Amino acid sequence: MKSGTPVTEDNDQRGGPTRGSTRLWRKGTLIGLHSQSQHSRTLDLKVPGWPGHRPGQHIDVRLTAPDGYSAQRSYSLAAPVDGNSVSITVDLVPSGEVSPYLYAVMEICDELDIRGPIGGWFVWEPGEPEIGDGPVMLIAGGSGVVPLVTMLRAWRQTGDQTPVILAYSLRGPDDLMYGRELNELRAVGVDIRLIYTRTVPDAHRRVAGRLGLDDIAIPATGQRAERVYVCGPAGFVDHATALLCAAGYPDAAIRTERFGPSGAD
Amino acid sequence: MTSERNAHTSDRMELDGNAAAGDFSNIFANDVTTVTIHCDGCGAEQLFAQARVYLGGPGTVLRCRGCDAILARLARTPRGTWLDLSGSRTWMFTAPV
Ligand SMILES: Cc1cc2nc3c(=O)[nH]c(=O)nc-3n(C[C@H](O)[C@H](O)[C@H](O)COP(=O)(O)OP(=O)(O)OC[C@H]3O[C@@H](n4cnc5c(N)ncnc54)[C@H](O)[C@@H]3O)c2cc1C
Ligand SMILES: [Zn+2]
Repeated sequence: MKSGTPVTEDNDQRGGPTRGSTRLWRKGTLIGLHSQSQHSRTLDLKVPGWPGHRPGQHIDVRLTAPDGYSAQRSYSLAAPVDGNSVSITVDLVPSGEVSPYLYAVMEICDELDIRGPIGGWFVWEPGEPEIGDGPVMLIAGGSGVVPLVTMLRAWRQTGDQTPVILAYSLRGPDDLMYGRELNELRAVGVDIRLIYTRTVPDAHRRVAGRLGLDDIAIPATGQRAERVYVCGPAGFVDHATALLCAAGYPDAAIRTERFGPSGAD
Repeated sequence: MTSERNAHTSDRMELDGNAAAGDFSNIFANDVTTVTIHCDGCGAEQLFAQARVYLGGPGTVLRCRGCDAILARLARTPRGTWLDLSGSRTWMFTAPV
């Protein structure tokens, strides 16, 4: 296939409608935009023939220049399955190639190539037998919160009773994504811990500092989460994983996804 | 944190298997993140999603999280897609194929 030539949906029908269709590039049309923090926004895309997805999965996005040069990046699905619509939340990397376009340039009705859903391991679907009665702990650094919020939305939509903890590390209040939604989730029982690493807002009790053992402790003494999901920059994920090991978590209980190079989160 | 061990690839981005799942799943026509890979270098087993991934060079490189040896390399060239799995002994697909 010539690079930059989108495959149409019909090309893949031989491979079976669901499995095969996750492999092709489809057109996504931008139908909605929402600001998410001072430097991130959510893009809602309409994708005809979308086969559905699970919380935690991602898509690949491809941009192709008129001269045929193309750049490809991954973005987590930012909302649970909803017919033909998919959403992504893009945090601006100012020096980046793809995120500035998605964050600032793309307008309603513009199209891009997407492929997915991708991944089957960094996924949490309420009711998974291995997780039992939980709790489940979600640990986010920066934009790593995106797939974890999708998991929380699915948890809420299905009325799941598994206790959930979200530890979300961010530099300062300007970096907070999904602020209002996190308040709502707190009101319905999610244990949300905001870990400001540099600038702490007024009235926040924790002092500025890196994610520590206290931030990932389970209230009932000695208890551990049945499953932990960690997502964020590589440096953050490595740090959180080391803390989890120190807290006695077995490797098999930890699922991680690295978004980019070591970051300050 | 890992920049010293991988100084030779410091211009590239260290991610994990999730970041390469789109390209590899495309080739295997199946999700690869849950595939267990057996490293030929140190014998360690790890899930594809847990292996280290380097993007940004001419191709994608998958490295063992235990010993850093190359498990797989994937490159797209004008002549075709080149896949080298010589660094891994076996790939175990446990999800329905
Ligand atoms: C599985 C997966 C899911 C992802 N999901 C999301 C998501 O939901 N939302 C989201 O915003 N991003 C997500 N990312 C990151 C995303 O794929 C891009 O890496 C990011 O948008 C930067 O792309 P860029 O082209 O703008 O920057 P590039 O041109 O790739 O990089 C420019 C410079 O910025 C550095 N850089 C690259 N990525 C980051 C980063 N994430 N943080 C800090 N510095 C960086 C690079 O080292 C380079 O020096 C995900 C990544 C993976 C692997
Ligand atoms: Zn090895």
